[in-house]
Amino acid sequence: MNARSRIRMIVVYSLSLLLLTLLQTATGDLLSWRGVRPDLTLVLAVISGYLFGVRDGYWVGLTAGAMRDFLTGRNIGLGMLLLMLSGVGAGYLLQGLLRRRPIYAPLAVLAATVPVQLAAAVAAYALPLLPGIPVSLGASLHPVFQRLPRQLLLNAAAAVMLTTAFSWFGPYSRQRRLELAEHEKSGERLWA
Amino acid sequence: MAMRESAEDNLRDFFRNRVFIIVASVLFLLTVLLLSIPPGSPLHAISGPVSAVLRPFERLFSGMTGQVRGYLAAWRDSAALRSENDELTRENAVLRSEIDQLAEAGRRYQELKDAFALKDRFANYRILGAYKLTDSLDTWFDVFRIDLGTSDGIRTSDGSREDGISYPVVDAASRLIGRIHTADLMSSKVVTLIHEGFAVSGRVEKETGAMVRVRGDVELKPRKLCLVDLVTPADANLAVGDEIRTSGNGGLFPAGIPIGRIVELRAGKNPDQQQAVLKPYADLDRLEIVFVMVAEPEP
Repeated sequence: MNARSRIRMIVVYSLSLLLLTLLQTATGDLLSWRGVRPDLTLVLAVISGYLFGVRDGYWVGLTAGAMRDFLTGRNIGLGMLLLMLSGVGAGYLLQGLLRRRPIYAPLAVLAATVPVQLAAAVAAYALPLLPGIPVSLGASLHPVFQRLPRQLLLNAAAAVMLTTAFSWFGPYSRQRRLELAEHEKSGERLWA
Repeated sequence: MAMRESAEDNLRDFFRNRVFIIVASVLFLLTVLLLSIPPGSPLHAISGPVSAVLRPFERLFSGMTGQVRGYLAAWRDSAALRSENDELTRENAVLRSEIDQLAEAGRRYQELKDAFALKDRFANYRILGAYKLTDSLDTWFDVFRIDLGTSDGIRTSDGSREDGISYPVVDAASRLIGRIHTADLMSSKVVTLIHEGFAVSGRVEKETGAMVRVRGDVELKPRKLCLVDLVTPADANLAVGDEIRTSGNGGLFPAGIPIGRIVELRAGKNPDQQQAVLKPYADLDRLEIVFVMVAEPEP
């Protein structure tokens, strides 16, 4: 990858991270629908891994998770862990299953949304802020299941928009994607 | 020599192996998570530089959001606003006359207070105003940040109760919002009173005022309500409409901060225990500016 391509990749990912994190955390209820907002940082991590490979999913997920931990997390680490694994999982598992076709990107996001939401609820149950007040696992999971349908719809809509945006203003130029697709038809290569 | 080079290549390949990197990352992040849980963990200071960089963008987004929300509300409610405006103009005239009467009453109260040497309720607390920077999201990511940090006098806990980080957070009308959870150089995270990690000792504001515990509940949180339990004495009669304020027990929250009103009575798991559902006074969906109460040292 030449310097110009690398700069483009860094700039696009940085701006995407900043914009989507702030849209998710600093806009109040402007983007919410009946109390649920699209999980934009998760969408970014999964789309990056699904379309551009495990390495992109790893680093974007790690950075997006760190922003999430710093801005809204009870403690540091869970956001990084969940989003990093989402990005890597999208790169490893879903690329093969869904053939990295952009039209299936929302499915990749939906597949990641459920385990991330459940994992956060289990973590909240396992590591309560007030250990003296017990919380049942069922009580922790119930609100997650209640808002899950809305969360899935919003995440899918966000995935469509982000995939479309990346097709025009993505971290890799279309020419570069085509060049690499000529040489490699599978594995760690870019969506074309 | 060839064998040694082969061993070194194998070792290098091992550390570059993707699976190894991912597994090592997972173990490292789990360690970071567990180390960040104890109160006063120094890991929370890591977010200080990030807070400093993001603060202008957060303020910009919050400001833009407020403007957009205002335009949308004005467009939606223009007719209602005109009618409300007429109503408010009439009400304003009534209130002006009441203010004049209350000014006289306030002067007399001040005289009484001086006479009996009444202490201002929060005289020993420094009130610091802060802007809300981010919102809480969903499970685990359910605290919000404000732009006050250790550089503004919010001290991090060193484990002792006296130096506890948990400062009360109230709104402009002194109604309870929550408490400080962690702080870095330029920002702090706030746990709201509907959060299951929040609990405060309260007192029912009536003659036979019972002592209660007001805490967040994971099932009531989506409805923006709190749970009232541990009623003392156990046979005290709670009623819908009862107001609850902080009792001052525990030393963290001063006495007298309004918390909310009881909206529902329910039986506890133990038949002898009463429970109730409380609706907080503070509007947690419309917070923009909050106030942190920092206790001044006793003279």
